[in-house]
Amino acid sequence: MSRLFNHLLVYVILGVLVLAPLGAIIYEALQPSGGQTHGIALLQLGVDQQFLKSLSGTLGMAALAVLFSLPMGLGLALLLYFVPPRLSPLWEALILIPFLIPPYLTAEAWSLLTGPVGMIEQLTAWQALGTTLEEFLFSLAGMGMVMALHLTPLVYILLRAALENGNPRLLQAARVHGSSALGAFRLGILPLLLPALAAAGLLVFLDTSAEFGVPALLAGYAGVQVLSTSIEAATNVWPVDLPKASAIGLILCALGVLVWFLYRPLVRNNEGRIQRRAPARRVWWSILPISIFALIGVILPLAAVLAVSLEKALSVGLQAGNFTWHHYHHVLSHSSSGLSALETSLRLSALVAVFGMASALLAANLVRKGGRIAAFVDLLATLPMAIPGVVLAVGMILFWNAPWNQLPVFGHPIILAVAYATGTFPFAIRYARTGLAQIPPRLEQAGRVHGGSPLHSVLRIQIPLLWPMLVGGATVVFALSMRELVASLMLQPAGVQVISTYIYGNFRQGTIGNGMALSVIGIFSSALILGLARGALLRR
Amino acid sequence: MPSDAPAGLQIEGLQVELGGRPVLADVHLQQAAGSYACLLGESGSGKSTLLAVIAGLLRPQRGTVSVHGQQVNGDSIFIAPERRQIGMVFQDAALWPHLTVLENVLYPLRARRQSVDKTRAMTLLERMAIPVAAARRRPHELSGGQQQRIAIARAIIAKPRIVLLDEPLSALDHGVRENLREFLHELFAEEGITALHVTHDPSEAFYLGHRVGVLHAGHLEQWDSPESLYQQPTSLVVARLGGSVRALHVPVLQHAGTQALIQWEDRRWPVPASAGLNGATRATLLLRPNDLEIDAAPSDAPEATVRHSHWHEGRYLLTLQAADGQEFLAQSRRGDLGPRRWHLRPDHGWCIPVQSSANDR
Repeated sequence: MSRLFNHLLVYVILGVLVLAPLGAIIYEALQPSGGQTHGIALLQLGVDQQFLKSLSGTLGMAALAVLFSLPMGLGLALLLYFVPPRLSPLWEALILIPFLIPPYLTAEAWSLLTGPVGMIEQLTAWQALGTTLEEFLFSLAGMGMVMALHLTPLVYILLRAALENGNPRLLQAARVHGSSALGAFRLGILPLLLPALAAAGLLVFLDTSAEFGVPALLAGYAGVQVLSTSIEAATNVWPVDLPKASAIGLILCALGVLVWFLYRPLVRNNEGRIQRRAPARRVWWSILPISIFALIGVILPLAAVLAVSLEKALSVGLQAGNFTWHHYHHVLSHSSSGLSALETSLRLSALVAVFGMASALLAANLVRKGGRIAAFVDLLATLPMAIPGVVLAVGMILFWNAPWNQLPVFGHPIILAVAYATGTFPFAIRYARTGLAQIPPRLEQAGRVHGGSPLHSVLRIQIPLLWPMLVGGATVVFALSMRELVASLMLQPAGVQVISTYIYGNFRQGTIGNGMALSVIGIFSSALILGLARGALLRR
Repeated sequence: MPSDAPAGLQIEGLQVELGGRPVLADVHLQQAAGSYACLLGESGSGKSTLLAVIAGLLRPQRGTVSVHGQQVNGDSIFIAPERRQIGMVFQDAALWPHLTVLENVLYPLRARRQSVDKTRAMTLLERMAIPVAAARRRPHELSGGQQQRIAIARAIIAKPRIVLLDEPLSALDHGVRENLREFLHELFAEEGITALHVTHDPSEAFYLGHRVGVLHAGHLEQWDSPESLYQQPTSLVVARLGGSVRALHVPVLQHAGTQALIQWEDRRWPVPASAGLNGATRATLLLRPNDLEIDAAPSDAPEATVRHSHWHEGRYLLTLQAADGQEFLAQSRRGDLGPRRWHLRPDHGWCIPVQSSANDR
């Protein structure tokens, strides 16, 4: 009975989170476009010049992001694996930070750094540098580069894992049997790296093609159109054309699913077998390339955010008399919409972290049993990886705002939680599955054999053993929910803002200081809350 | 020895397939209540699968399993593992790392909602030679041998109807293994708990088991006393699992009951034989090293060539080749290579129907 209940609960959760918005999009994409009385929006896209331009913009931005991020990630992985500098864990942490900064914030920060009155020109003697960098930033290549900066840590993680998975003895065997260092690398390392490189490239392509924030900020000035902003425009700009938005969404989704299906087999064998190897030779010079990446990806953008949050007037620049706490006072004042946006984000993210992980654990237990149903549940649970946030948001509008749907979800902040839960579900289930895979089946079998019911075994054995993984997964879900932009923009009810939409809105309106102050507060408060929560939860 | 008391464990016609591959085929077995039995078998023979079925961790396709008279597996019967009242000791102890030693031992009482008798748990731990202070520690702070003792305490604390032991000693060092073997022998004899112990080590099976079974490719080849299993194996597989042995093809001149007269190396030898020989003219002669006398062989005894010798358990173990090319083993005080005379000891050796792989090692 409890098994049946578990199955039903998982189907309902995944049905509501994933299948319902997808189904709504497919249905809507098959209706005539806005302004047409017949035809199918999906087919009408074929003659839509604007769509074709957006498609080429998306493909170009994603391809450039792959082109930039793979060499950077590969270089960093090879350096830190073969010739790490001293204090390599600290350097590694620095490399991973760009992934934690929302890409729209990196784009905003770089737009503040470049240009004729940007901080680079204020602080350096190279007068032309800011302008040159600005021209680059507001171009297709610049958009690709911002995404590459954000996603290089992901490439690094995948390639580093592939290197760690390798057997160091293969290299030794090649050298002992006469290979040069390069020959040994080609024989023992390259075959492992190639699938990881392909996987990393596909992941970067997938994430970049789904990105909304960066093109929303940069594409207009760059004269570029991409699919995600076209979808948002079709739902928000009069005349609203939901069938067209759905049709473009379906194309973007199909692109994502295609890339994702290519990606999945490449990482299937990555079991994270970490082998012991002799400590690598430490060298000082590897600091140089690593610091350059850290400077571009972390230090400069964060410094720009911090500086602008403290500046009275942006045009005056970094002058002694131009610093103020005013933006912080404003954001933290009792009636501030910024403070309420922060509170809403924290509340929703915490809710999603707890319920997301609990649902993911249920689904992971079902997936672990194996079989066709398990494979289907796994597919559904990880499918949101391939569904861009903007498409998901359109699907949710269509499903929750449908005339027949009387549930009071659309127009209530809870819809944001539903959207965050869908978007983060693949991450939550990955943590739950990895955690379950680490528990030897015998520990649970021992529980059953010695008298524990299935529920007793879950509560007394599985959850305590999974606890660090569950807390880790909840942390990631919380962080991802805190920074989600596009679904929040499209779904937030009137009068409700979250931290990402507040920052984005302020930037668009030119009140940049307040947005940056809330960015700093948001980063520190969520780090503090996560730190305290993890400390308390993991102390058990 | 049929009696009215139900068997501790009774298995009939058990059949298990995993992924379409048969893992257990028509297994029948009966174990007396309160006895200690061992199942010998190589990796992949189906030993652990059999334990998983008895424990309720795996559902068989066919067959019945009864524990102390209660059917726990049958055509339409499946009792969940937690309701079978059994204890189990796993190869790697399978202690829960987030619980203390004492909490691990008390788990079966808590899970079955029995009164949590900490005094009994501490007494058991003391009996297992676990220091009192260690009861509050986590399992990983203790040695492998201590962890396995705790797993044994956990398995017996709730007074189970049967304890299943899945290669409990195989991950331990030799010294610890011997020590724990003696401990298991005494403990289960005193507690009178029915136990089924799975192992691939014949010395362990012969030391502990009142009954020993041999599983091979999912079939229970023999279920017998240790002596019979060693001296009168029903097949070459059973003989090999019992210890060093060589199989030779020999002509049978006469066969009556449990005796056969065979011809080998131009001599006639009376040897014990399986009833299954059934008047056959050829047989497989199974010879263990102690079946042959070599140091005091008569001067007219046949000669064989020592091809290899090595020091083994206080003597040399010789590999000899007879004039007909067949190989056999013998023990000797001398380890030199070359020709040696040998003699088959009276009432030694064992003849079984011809086995196809008689001369394979």
